[in-house]
Amino acid sequence: MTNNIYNPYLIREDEKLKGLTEPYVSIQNLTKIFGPSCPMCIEQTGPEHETNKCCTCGSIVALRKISIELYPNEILGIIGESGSGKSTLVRLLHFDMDVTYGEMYLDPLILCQEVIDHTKKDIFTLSAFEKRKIRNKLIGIVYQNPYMGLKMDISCGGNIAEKLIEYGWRNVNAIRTRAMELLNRTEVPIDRIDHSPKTFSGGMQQRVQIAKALSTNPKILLLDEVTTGLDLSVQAKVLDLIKKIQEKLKITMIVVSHDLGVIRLLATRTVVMKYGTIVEAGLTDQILEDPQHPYTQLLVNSQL
Amino acid sequence: MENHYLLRLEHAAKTFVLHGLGGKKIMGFRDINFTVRRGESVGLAGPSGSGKSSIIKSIYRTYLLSHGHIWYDSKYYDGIVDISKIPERAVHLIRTNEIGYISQFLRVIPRVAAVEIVAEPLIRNGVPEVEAKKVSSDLLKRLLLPENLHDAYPSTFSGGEQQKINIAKTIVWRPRLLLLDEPTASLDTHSVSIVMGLLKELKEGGTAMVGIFHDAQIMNDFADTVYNIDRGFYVEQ
Repeated sequence: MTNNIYNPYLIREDEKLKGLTEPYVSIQNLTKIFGPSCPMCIEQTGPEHETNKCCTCGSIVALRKISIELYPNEILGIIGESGSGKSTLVRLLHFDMDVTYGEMYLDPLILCQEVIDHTKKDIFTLSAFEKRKIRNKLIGIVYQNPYMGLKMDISCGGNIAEKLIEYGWRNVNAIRTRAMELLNRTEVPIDRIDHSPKTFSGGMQQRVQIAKALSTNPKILLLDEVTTGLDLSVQAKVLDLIKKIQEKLKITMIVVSHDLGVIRLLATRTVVMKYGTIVEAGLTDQILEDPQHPYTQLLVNSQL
Repeated sequence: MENHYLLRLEHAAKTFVLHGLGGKKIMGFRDINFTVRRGESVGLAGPSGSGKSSIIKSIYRTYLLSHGHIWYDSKYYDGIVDISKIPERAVHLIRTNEIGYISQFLRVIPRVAAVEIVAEPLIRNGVPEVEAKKVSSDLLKRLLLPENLHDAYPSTFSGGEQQKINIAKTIVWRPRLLLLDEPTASLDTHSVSIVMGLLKELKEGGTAMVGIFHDAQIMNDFADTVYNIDRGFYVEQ
């Protein structure tokens, strides 16, 4: 050991230049209502009413005015019970559904530069074509259910190729090389590249999904309950993979899970959701060791 | 700056509110004031449940303070910040660059080799993988972790061996401020003396420390100043 006071490697210039509190992605007042929706929807739902259903018009309020900020190279955890709106949030960020209202801004310098020419614009108001462009360039997603993220009637390599082609790749050989490289990274046996994911185990399907999501070098990766339903040894492998990818590729991630252990190991900050509302947000260890909201306390105390 | 302190607690207080028990309030600690200078080690002593760990966790922002301030002179921020108030993102950056915390328990992703866990903070900050692993391996060797365990998964280790990983993964990156919550509780005397030696080296390198040790001998060895905490209050020594 030398006698340097500070390790010279420990200040990352990119982040220092970026400033400490400048977000990558900023989401404001994100709301999603399924159903006719009326002016009373927001007021009549939420944790204080203990329901998601508006009693005037019968709409389901999946998300109520969510505001989240994402920073470069961090993992944000989202926890909450079933029906709290976790998956809806992730899908809205992947433009799988239209928002009822709400705004999303991307960092104009880093994220928008080559994607869209107008800076500081609400992403949700862009045309479908531009949204798709942003999605292809910036965002990857891994669904809880592999059947949502993968086409089971085409080969595993074909699934990855599909995303690359959508992104603009045309050279068959290059696509195949890229697919092999990705499968290698996510530890899927290369000789299975031409097999349908239907024939894969659940853990392998998840890893193919991760490979597909990573294929276009996204800046943001959305992981929706990726380890739920996997056996413990596979779960450990997937967790390790996610962490390694994050460290190597410096991707910002949103990890949705109802497993507090997963969140503790992966996330730096965590958001707790209930009835479509954020009831508490903070550093992960603070959320788990000094929860402030009654619901978070209940959740943490219910942990095995 | 006239006062060259690194850390300063000012009327710090913590009360836990247990909503499950009808909003019952439990006092963690009250009106804690002390200052830590660069390269100084401060010990917190007192019986179990007196609030020592809570103070350390509040400095690390694992606990949110109810009242008061925790001023910290951050290199990253280039100035003094109140750790209990600044945004989580800033706390995270300060944690990964300046403040280290060693608890009694090791919490890591399963099935990651010991040496990789220790090397992780270095690699994350741009040290080439080979070099980071070598530094980590050397450190583990100094901590007397058998070499054949360096590539094994810590979940199979004994309590003491796990604790060595826990200590190594924090001191390897030489934090400016090191928080220690009984890091030596599960170690044998020989290992303890090695850990104390490593801490002394860090101290000479300028690292300030706040630590809890139950063993009076170790505490004497470690601390420049000891504060006695009793039922959340403190008596200076």
